[in-house]
Amino acid sequence: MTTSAEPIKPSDKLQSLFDRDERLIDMIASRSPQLAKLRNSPMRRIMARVTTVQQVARLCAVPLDVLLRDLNGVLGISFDSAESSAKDAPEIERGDQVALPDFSSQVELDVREDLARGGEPFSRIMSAVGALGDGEVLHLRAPFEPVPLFAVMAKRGFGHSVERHADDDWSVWFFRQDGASAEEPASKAASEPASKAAPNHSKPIADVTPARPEVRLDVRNLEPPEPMVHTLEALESLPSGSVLLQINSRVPQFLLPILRERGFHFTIDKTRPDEVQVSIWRND
Amino acid sequence: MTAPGMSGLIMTGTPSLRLPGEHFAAGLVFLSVGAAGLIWIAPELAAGVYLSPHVAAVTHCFTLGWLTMTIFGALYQLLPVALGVPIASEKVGHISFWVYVPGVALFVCGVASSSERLRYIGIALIAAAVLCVVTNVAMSLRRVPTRNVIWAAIVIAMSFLTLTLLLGALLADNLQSNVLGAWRVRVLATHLHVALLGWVLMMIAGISHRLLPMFLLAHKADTRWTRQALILVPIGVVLLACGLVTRNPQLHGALPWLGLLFVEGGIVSFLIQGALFFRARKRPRLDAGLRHAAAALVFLGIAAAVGPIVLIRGVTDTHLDVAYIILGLIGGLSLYVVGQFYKVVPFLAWMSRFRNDMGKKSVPTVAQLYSQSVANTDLVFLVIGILGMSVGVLVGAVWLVTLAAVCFAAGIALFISQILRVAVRTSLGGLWRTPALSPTGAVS
Repeated sequence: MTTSAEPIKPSDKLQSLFDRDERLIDMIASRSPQLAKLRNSPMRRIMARVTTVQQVARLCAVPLDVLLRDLNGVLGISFDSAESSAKDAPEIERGDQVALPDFSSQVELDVREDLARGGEPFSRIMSAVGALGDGEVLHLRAPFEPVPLFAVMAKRGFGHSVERHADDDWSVWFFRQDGASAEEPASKAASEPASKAAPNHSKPIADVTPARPEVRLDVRNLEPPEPMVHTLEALESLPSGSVLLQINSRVPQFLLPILRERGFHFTIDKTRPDEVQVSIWRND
Repeated sequence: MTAPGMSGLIMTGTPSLRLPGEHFAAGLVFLSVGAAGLIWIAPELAAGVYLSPHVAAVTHCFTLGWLTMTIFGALYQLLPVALGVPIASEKVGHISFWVYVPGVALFVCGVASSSERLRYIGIALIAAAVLCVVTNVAMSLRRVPTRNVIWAAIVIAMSFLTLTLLLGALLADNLQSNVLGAWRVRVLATHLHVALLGWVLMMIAGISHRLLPMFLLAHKADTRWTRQALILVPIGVVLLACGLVTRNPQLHGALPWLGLLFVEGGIVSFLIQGALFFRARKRPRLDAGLRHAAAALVFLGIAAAVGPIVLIRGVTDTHLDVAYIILGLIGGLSLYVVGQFYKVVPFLAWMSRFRNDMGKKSVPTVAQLYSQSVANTDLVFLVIGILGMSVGVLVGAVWLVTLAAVCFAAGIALFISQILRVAVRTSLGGLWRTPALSPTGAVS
């Protein structure tokens, strides 16, 4: 059966598809385990607004033409009318280079367990991104390549770099593009595509977390500013080449600028519930 | 790798201490004037008079001069720490401060002296300043990446601040035009509840959601109750306000009670949240600031319990009305802010003075910047003063209200002396002699 209705195009957002016909939810959700979460209503509200048909094709590793034919088929639209739009589809930036700009520290965020439990990590990701200071990068660990997120982050002025560890284990680094600072409104860099942000001066990911002897300092039971005082005292006597691991109940917002001022580097790991781990070291 | 510079700021995006500091200093001046003013208006309070210009002037020393001024200062510091964005314009923050301070001063003087000119100039300046602050904060809130409970509390509070201003302007104009006629008392009650519950309590709920678990080390407490308070109180305030100002006889009876139900539910939620934070704390011993906050929560609970009786008896029992306002405004909200002041201001001053010495030299603790025993003494004076004033008003005893007001003013004087002590020890760095610290940490 064919119809003269507007065919589904590669750039169409999933939300517009679902508004047209709810059967498309199941059809797309059944294509891959990652997309199965679209059956979850809160998840769908977030993902469907930012994910395009073209991105779905990439996520499922399905040719765009095939996906368009199937989707249009559900709506009773002939494949021929959809095929022409597939050819016009803009190319998606793959962003799979293992390259990062110089940075002072990285914030760790692992959303794999969150997603496995059916949770919605979008707000955690945006929160972590919002808290990034100048020179900081976000290291996101996810069970799939979060393609829809790339466009969202590009609009906020962030570039990305991707590394695949396994089919269900991906690392993505988000970093501010040249010219966008921590205090700048995201809209300033909105027009810059992610690919332009890829820096020429890059560093291997293996260098990010140094393998050094570790000194642990648990400050969870101390009232501000005691955690900061104890940490800075511990850093003064930290053996050369060691890392101080501060165990905190929140990100130590007042400590971070002092660490930067004093030439320390740090990473923040927020992957554990009710606990934040800050690794601090000095490059000798 | 590069380490970004800090330009002398405490943390990225945080304004210099001057902006919150000038608000806190001005707030203390208005608090001291308000405390002294309570002695002045003690006979009127004891007589259950609340429509007097003197009572209105002193009340605005607390609401506009102490509470609102301090909240503005705290917001400039809280936004970057709690929401990850700095204030949109620090310059506008300074400008609004220098417009707001003379505005409040002129308005209070104008109300107290029944001077129409001073009152209008004052309210025009206050309106301009509040508009600047609301716009400045709104522009900052737009950039917040994650809109959490604190974000929602600030948005709600700012909306009610704007409504408070409109109602206040209407009441000020009414003093000349008498456009409200007999409805003046109902609009006044609406103005009061929109200000105290919609503006101040909502902001306190949002700020406490961040500060209480941080200072109490109560990170594992159940935090769902703040959300309940943020839903119930605004709905209740709107219903209460509509019920008080409507001329429809059917709505006139039902709406205030419905509003009161929501408001009481919201206040109880806020109190439960506070109690949960206190219960989940890891350090059993409370310091002076947290004792002030705990006492204030008790007063707020008493005021909430008196609320339904006030609604039943209406304007027929003005003694009860005045006691209710003393318990809620001075006992609940003002005392709570004093408690938070004890926690936040010494901490910020300490950070500013000792940030470069930490880890390199021996530094005092924040608690050592002021005397815990003096702070505990001021709390005793304040609590006795608030209770004495409330009881004195209820029984109509001028001597008791006057004595209690003197007691309250003495407590405020001690509190201010403590903050001055912190300021002297941190601003005039040379006066702090680090080697003079004893092995036990006592300050010589």
